[in-house]
Amino acid sequence: MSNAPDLLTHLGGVPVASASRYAGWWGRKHWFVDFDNGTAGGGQGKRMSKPQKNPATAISDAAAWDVIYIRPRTPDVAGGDPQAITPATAANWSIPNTKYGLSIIGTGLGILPSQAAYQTRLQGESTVTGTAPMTVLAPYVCLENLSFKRGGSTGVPLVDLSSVSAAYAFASSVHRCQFHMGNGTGAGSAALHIGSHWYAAITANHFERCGVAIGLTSLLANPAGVKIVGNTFNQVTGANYGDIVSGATACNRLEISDNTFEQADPTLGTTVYIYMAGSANTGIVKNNYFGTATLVTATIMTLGGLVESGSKCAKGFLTS
Amino acid sequence: MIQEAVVDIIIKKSQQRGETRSRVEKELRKEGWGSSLTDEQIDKCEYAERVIKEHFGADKSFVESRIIDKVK
Repeated sequence: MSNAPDLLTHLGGVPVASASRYAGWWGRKHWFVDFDNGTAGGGQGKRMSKPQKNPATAISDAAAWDVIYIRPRTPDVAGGDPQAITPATAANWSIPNTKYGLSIIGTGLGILPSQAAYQTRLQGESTVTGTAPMTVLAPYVCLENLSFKRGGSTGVPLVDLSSVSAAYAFASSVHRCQFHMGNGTGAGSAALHIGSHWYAAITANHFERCGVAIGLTSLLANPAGVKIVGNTFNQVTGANYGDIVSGATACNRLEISDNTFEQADPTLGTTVYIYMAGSANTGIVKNNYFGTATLVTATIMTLGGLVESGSKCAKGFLTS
Repeated sequence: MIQEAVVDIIIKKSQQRGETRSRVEKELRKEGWGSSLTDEQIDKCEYAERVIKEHFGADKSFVESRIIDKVK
């Protein structure tokens, strides 16, 4: 049951990640956010019948190991982009280190763009630049069933699994989320950035038309034990700089498995699906599917020490 | 198989630490909030919650991944 791709780190959408103890999936107190029908102000949202309006207030009110449920907005029927939840003030969302174990769970199961009416869509504030719509600086955090989109920030992550000195973050899970059109072109500005966030579990997500989908960097230390499993990558030729890009000095015990790379081999930036800087990386790339006819591993991946096993392209198993 | 993982769980609503995931999920659906788990996932959650409760008691319990793996 805990095997990839669906449940490597989850029990039915519930994280049981590689933390020594993980309470995030059952949590402590519950908070309920309904942007269209909720009431703003501290202390709101303790019941579904009296929901909070703003996610930032819910994050502020929540304590470690709490769970925040966020309802999808009323579906847009007028065309254009689906309605999104935006911050109430000129500041994007951030989960500080003191909120360890916080779970933020959308109550819509839609993950693809075609399912926009059934997903909780979080969009960065329109005047904020330079920060991701969601930054995670705490360990054991779970983000689940959410869709992330840029606001005023461009060239930065949509979700930044980061870390701060003296309070390292680690072992967070990102499960069944959509990353919509992140336009960063490097590891540090990838739609989902993992900066020294050890044991991050990135499972069953969809990356839609991003410049770089997942990036890893040695912000404070080399990333370790990161699992990237069961995701789909749907990027656009001519705007894709690599799907998984590491600029870290080295990644230790990295697993990239059971992912589907739906598009052609990237033509910009790294010009490969998976790029690992340096040669001291350790881990495995296995059972992935690539939308290319190219059979030679080295043509579509720069592995930097990772071992490839059992991945396929359109014509069969890759060759060394 | 992942490495041994341990989780805290919450079984009873009356306890300070909250409710189980499956129970909240049913309330979400009842109140028209949508859903955060599929039906199959709810079944798996309920099974795990029941097994965990039987193994470790009702409050602040822990489960190893070898038990999670028994969920079909």
